[in-house]
Amino acid sequence: MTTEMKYWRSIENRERTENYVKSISDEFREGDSEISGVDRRNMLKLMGASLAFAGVGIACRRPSEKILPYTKAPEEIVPGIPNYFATARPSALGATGLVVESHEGRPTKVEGNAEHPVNRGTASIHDQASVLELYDPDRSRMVMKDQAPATWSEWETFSQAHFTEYANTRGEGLAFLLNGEDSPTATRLQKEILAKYSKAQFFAYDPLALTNTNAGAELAFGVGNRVLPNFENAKVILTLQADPFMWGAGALANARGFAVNRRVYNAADASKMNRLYSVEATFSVTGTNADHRLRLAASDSLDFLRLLASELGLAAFSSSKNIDAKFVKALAKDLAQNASRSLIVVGETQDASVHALAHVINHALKGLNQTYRVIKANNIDASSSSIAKLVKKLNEGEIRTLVCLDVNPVYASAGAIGFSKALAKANTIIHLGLYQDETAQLAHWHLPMSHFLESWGDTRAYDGTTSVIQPLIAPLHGGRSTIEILAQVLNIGVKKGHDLVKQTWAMDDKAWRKVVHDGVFSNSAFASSSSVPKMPSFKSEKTSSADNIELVFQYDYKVLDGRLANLGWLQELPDAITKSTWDNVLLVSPALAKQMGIKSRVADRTYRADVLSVKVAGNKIELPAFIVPGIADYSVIAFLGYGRKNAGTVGNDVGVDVYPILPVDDSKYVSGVKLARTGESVKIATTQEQFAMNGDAIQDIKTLSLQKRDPARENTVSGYQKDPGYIKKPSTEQMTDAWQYTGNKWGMVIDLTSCIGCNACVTACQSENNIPVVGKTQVMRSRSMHWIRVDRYFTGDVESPQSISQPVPCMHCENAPCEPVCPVAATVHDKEGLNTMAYNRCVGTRYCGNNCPYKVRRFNYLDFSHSGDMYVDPLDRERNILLQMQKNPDVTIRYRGVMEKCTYCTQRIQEAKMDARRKGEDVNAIKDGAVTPACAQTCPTQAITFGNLNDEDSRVSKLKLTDRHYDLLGELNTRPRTSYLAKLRNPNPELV
Amino acid sequence: MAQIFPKWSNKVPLIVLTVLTVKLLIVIFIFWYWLSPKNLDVGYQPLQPVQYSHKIHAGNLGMDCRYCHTGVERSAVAGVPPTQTCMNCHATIKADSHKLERVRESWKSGDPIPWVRVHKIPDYAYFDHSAHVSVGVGCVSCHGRVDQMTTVRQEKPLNMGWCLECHRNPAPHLRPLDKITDMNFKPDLAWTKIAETKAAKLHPPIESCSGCHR
Repeated sequence: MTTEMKYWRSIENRERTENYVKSISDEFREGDSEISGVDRRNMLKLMGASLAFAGVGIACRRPSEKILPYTKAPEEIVPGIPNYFATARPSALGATGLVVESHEGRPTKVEGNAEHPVNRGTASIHDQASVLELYDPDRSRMVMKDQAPATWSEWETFSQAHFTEYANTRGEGLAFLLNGEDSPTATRLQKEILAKYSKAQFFAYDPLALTNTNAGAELAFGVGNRVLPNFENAKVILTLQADPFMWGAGALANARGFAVNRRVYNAADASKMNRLYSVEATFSVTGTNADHRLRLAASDSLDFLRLLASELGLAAFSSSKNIDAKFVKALAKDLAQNASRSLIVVGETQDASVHALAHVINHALKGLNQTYRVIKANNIDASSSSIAKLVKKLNEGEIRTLVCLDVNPVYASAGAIGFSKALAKANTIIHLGLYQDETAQLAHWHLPMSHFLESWGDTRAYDGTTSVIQPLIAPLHGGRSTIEILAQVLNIGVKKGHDLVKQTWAMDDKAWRKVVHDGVFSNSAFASSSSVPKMPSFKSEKTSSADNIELVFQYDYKVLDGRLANLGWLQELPDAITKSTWDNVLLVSPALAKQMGIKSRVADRTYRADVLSVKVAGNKIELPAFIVPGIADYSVIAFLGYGRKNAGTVGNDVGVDVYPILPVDDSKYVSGVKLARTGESVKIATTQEQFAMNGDAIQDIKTLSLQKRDPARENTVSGYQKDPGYIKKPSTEQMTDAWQYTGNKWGMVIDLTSCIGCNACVTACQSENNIPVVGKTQVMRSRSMHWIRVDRYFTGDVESPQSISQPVPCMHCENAPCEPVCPVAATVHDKEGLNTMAYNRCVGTRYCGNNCPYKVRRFNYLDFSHSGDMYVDPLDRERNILLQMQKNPDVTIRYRGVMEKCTYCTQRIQEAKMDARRKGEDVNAIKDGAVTPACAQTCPTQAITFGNLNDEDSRVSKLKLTDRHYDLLGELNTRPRTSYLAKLRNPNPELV
Repeated sequence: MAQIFPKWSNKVPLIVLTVLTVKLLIVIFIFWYWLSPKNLDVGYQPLQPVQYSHKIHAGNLGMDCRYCHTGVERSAVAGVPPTQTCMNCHATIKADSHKLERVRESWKSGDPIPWVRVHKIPDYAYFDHSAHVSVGVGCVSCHGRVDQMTTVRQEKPLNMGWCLECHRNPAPHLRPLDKITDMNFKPDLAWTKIAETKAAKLHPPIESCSGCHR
């Protein structure tokens, strides 16, 4: 009984063997509700006994609760009304402008700043999770001197004396190591330090820095230049080993620009749609959106681009490598036909020369100031070669004092550089950081850093747009910021960050207040520079083949270079491609797996992965292999950022450290990797096969044959133009009259053509709705709690499939299957069509979850939120107090034994209605746009639209009337309020 | 002749009496500890750290509720006033009163006065003062005659059934917006009619779960 699926989650899912079907068929299974070893019956016995005892001792007298008002009320705080403040999150990839919600002085939720020209109101998973980082109980809390607790005043005495000494020798032997974040105040202080200590040396190192990308721009356009893509104007896009929607310069802006030209609502729009070609070794998030995807080893990329250039008549070239000539020809033609509307983007894995060649081609295609801009920027050299220089000087004994500011090179640098060994040569190591991380362990002085939500600062986005970093709360653990420490080095006393930043900008008070309020300095982006790119010279020797496998290094989407490893939200976020959590895996192609006999497979709703040993130039690590369709045959991809030793209780020993085999130079791939099976296998907590909608293949009642039911729908542009009504709506006969919704009728539309599968909605939801983190073992038991999940389907052949991402929140079905089966009416409809969940009524039968065809209900098997256990470990209690500060006070914390699910952010709906009441407006006709759920608000491509279906002019009503609109599993007649717009692809007719 | 009752039966009256007394004491204790109105919902009247009298301030002096409870028209919570609000007057009026010792101490040290919460709804229910006040539900409807209380006590059960009673028939509890804080307001016939049309337009005072549970 097998049937081939059109959309499949995994190779096993595609084949649908009987074993497989059995293994994923039930959401709840025998033993699912057991707490290791104790079954329900015994549990009840135990509970009965403890209840009997409990009755004796516990007084259920009304507890006395205190109200603590302010003594002097701050003017801007009205208890119960949140305040919003603009700030920015600094990063070597460019800052993002944020607006942070604060409840009585306690920041709880991060949103994008709509005034910020780069991210324009949207935010990434890292921005969203930064509020959890602020409250991380594992953050460093005290000054450490030689690994023993000390105080700030001891440090001040020391630093005063220490740096005075250096003033006499003009700073000889003094060195600083900064990260790649671009802060004007830090730059100013750096200059002042150099003026005072002329022989002091400054280095920068940041694994996230776009070293190769910037080097490529400098190679083509001269030193100090940077290239800024503009996806909004691009009709034909080629990404070469690049993931511009997730990684790199202005990812949020790139994603939005790309999606703008994908909003096709009628046949006429369709001709305006852009076309994306992805040529890559790995399967990137950008690649999942490609109209054409070509698998190509990273080492073949230069030849590919040279062939393309040659095809475009730039420089004749012929390659000995096996590159699809037809693809190159069709691509070249398409690019040339759309000259001035075409764009080539090269990824960070590629050498500078490849980037430079892409700039030359872009220039030839007349893209300047159309699809890209060249800007005169402040490029910081934070590359591996920069830190290698530092190591050399350390080894030569030239550096006696090293000040490391917010960097962790002991962990996050290539093992072969030998940073930790060189570090031992310095007499005094001073480290400032959020955590007592690997570098702090080797430092003589560790200083706790204040989080960016606790300190003043300034920072630049990738395009130069400058923001003020405004603190939301005083430093929780008395930390200080990078600029405050730099000022201390100058021996000008302890300066407040605020004064330092204000001094840099020297503005009058009114203008300053405006900048702080808006979060950005208006028109502060770098100026354009226009020069003609130079053709670079090339050296390409790396190859890949069956006996010469190439390894591509990638920083993890979630924990980046490892700096965010201690954030449970990110660790538990399913990876965009493998859907794995709490681990890093080695991506291998099905072909290589077959050849090497790798038997990694779906097993019992998780994944059993064979462990491979990976050997690069004498260094060896072991990584579990995850077979991913669509990976270049002889390329394997490893993710950096895991296997940390001093990240904190959450991030320690999660996954495998890949830094030991990272090359010393800045290239992000190596050839000639030796792979071998170790014979071991490990379980990977992937959610790929969990919460699977059984509807994806059901038995037809009449014929007993398996009927395919596609969860996702798609079409090509030309197919759509021919038949815009291609989505045949199922008949939805009702036995009874449908309920008439007067007033507001909430609904949501998710556009699969715009959705890039970046997961930002998942983290935004987690932050807004107090969703707990459950941990790896619980994820493996299918107990993760996310209210919105992003299903990733493959489609096409196993070797080279395409992919489609589908976010699935609660559908709020009008005929909700969950409701009639609830024995206590804990889940019922309200008058505006929300499928509500009254937690306090729920007794935890899980019937609703069982009956939900979309599998969006989540059950609290344990007290994941630590809200009310009878006994709490005192150490845990201390941790929880900090974590509690993040919780949204407008959403109930759920206790164990309770079912929960997406509420359409009912707290935001209620707030909009209360607001209407206060203003005397009609609460039954809330204005379009007054309610935006957390997922829709943060979505970089604005793929999610929410609003009132009874309002004909609302955006969501209009979308529901478009041709591409369909209901997920609509044939069940559940009448879902959340519905989808089918995916459109725009393939090149010459390549079909 | 053998004794009818064995010797130990002399103790029976004593045992019975002791058992009865103990039982009686337990019952008294139960009523005193758990079931006295002071600890139930209605009638709960905890001692406050400062013997603040609403009767004097709101009743005799006729101060408006909103002088202290400033958030009531804007926010979900009405708000307990900061010490500063007390000191606005008491810096000069009765500045030496021993009853105000705690207030002055708070003002000096900056530590808040730990008032004991009287009106409490469960954490999973969300009540919004501003939404009620802005449609014309007066303070007295839920809080009773606070202007006559020396120490505040809970007058209404504040349970879901009680909430729904009003949500199903709000007209009797509506009043003109300028009479929200008026404890003595008595609707006349003309107003009753207006209130009924007003209530019909309110549609809905929400009866759905999502109105209060999030």
